Amino acid sequence: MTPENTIRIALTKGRLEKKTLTLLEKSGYDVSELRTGSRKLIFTLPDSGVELVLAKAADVITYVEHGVCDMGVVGKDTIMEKGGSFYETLDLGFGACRFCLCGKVGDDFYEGYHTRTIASKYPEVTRKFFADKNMDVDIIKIEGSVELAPLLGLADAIVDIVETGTTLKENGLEVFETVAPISARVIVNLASMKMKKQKIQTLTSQLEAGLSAD
Amino acid sequence: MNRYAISTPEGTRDRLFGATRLFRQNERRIRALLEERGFDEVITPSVEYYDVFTQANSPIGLERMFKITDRNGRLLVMRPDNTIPIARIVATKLDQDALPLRLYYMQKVHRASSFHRGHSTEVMQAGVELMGASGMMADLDILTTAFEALDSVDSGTFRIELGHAGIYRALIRSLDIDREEAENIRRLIENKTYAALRDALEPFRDQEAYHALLAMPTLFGGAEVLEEARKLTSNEKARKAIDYLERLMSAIAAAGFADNVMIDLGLVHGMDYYTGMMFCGYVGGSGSTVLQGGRYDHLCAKFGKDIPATGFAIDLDELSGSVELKSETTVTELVFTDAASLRKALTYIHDSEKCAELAPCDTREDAEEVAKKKGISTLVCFAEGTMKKMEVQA
Repeated sequence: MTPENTIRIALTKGRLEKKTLTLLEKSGYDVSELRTGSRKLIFTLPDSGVELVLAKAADVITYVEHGVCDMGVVGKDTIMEKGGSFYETLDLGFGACRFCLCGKVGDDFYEGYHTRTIASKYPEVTRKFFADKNMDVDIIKIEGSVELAPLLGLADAIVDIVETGTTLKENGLEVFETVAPISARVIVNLASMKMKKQKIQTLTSQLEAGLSAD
Repeated sequence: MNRYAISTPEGTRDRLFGATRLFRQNERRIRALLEERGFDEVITPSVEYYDVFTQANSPIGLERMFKITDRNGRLLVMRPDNTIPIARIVATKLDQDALPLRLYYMQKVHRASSFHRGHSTEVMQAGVELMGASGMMADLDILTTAFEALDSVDSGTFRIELGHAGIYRALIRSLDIDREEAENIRRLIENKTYAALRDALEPFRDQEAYHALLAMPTLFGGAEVLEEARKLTSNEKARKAIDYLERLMSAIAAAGFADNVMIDLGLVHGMDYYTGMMFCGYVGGSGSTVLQGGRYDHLCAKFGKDIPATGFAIDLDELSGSVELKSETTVTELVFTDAASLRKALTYIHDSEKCAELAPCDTREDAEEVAKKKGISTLVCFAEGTMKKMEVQA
């Protein structure tokens, strides 16, 4: 699907994109064209046989899973929510934050026997978390500021990404429990790993070298 | 109109013209190869009792099977797998003196998949099973069939990677570990999640199996991988499996597939199913596995007879996505006839060197119109027993 001599990498647009570009630069790639503010979606890095594609996080997984991109850089949060078949080969370390169970300050989440209602942008992560605890909960998918749900009385708690905790604090919420740590990961298509082994391994070790150069 | 009255369910598709020809072309080539290699075709029911698949401990979960109930309220499923029904047949219906049996199938499996992910729920599989034979020649029989099958469809580059269920099994059993933890480690190896695997194995740092388990996701490539693996473990069973893979590998190379064979010791899927060698096939241009197989000696025992078995299945849909259609002759002549000359016209169509088809028209003018519309340049007319050819200007 991707040309034989090219490695096509899907990058998650936004925060991870900038950090990934810096890493690629440190690993010896010329990414200057991506810094020009161009509206292009596919970039060919000069003299490298590498193409970069910019996509939304969940789409990075889709493109890699279907083999139209060989590799991808995406947050563990999206991997946990969306799942799929691919290799997850490298933890890039940046974009670090965590999934947390949060609620109103002072609430005892586990008190009593009523079925809890949990609001989240990540219903699958939430479902797995409580399934592991053998707890039946009602999950409500929220698209925007999930913090509103417990404040308005819609949910007992939320499962969301916590980076600094400032938003929680300003709204009278706190972390009850960590669900899982999150950071940026490199994923690789199953067939590409085998059909383009040499190139992918070279790129992976270049990225590893770029990481340890920090 | 009701939209469900005019659409097909997600994951299914209508296959037309070129797509069908391509699909059938690949099917024909593989079928010819399998029959050449002495396999007999089996056709099993499209629906089976759900119990067949639970009895066999099917790796395909209940939620992925399409269910129907029969008149008695028993649960039926659309065939989610081809091997299990064949194991059922071999163990319960066939004369055991007939072993070893070489069977093949060319039929669909149905598996529900998540919405909006672009996966088919209906997959055409071509596969073989060699029942009642164990040992290296049986494995090589199946392996070379797999290589030849991928070669026969002319897919350009293809690779088959070999692994062995015995390596992971021997290593993980040497650890004092519960099922859940073992499953977690297995999944991390399967997904090549190196960093998390190191963390998960940390409690076993002092164990003999630690280094080999940690390296498993990276142990793929040529024969040198086996040498590397040997250095990492002294586990007797694991080393036996490694030695075995080396022998398989050199036999395959000698059989002419040196450029197409790889090793991947990180193949750890279906660990409840595979008992020996296991393998996956890839073709250039496809992002997924197109072939999967291995040895599964415990399957038939689930149906009451202990019969060693090995085999593989090819995903014909995925494969067809990366094979080009060989240009085939299309219609070059349209044959118009009156009712009295029908026999002559039919004889002409059957015997013609060219590809000719009958014009479903009552008048010659209509036939000319059809020829023009379809871009057929020659109209062959039969009237009152005589034949006349005419050129049609598009």
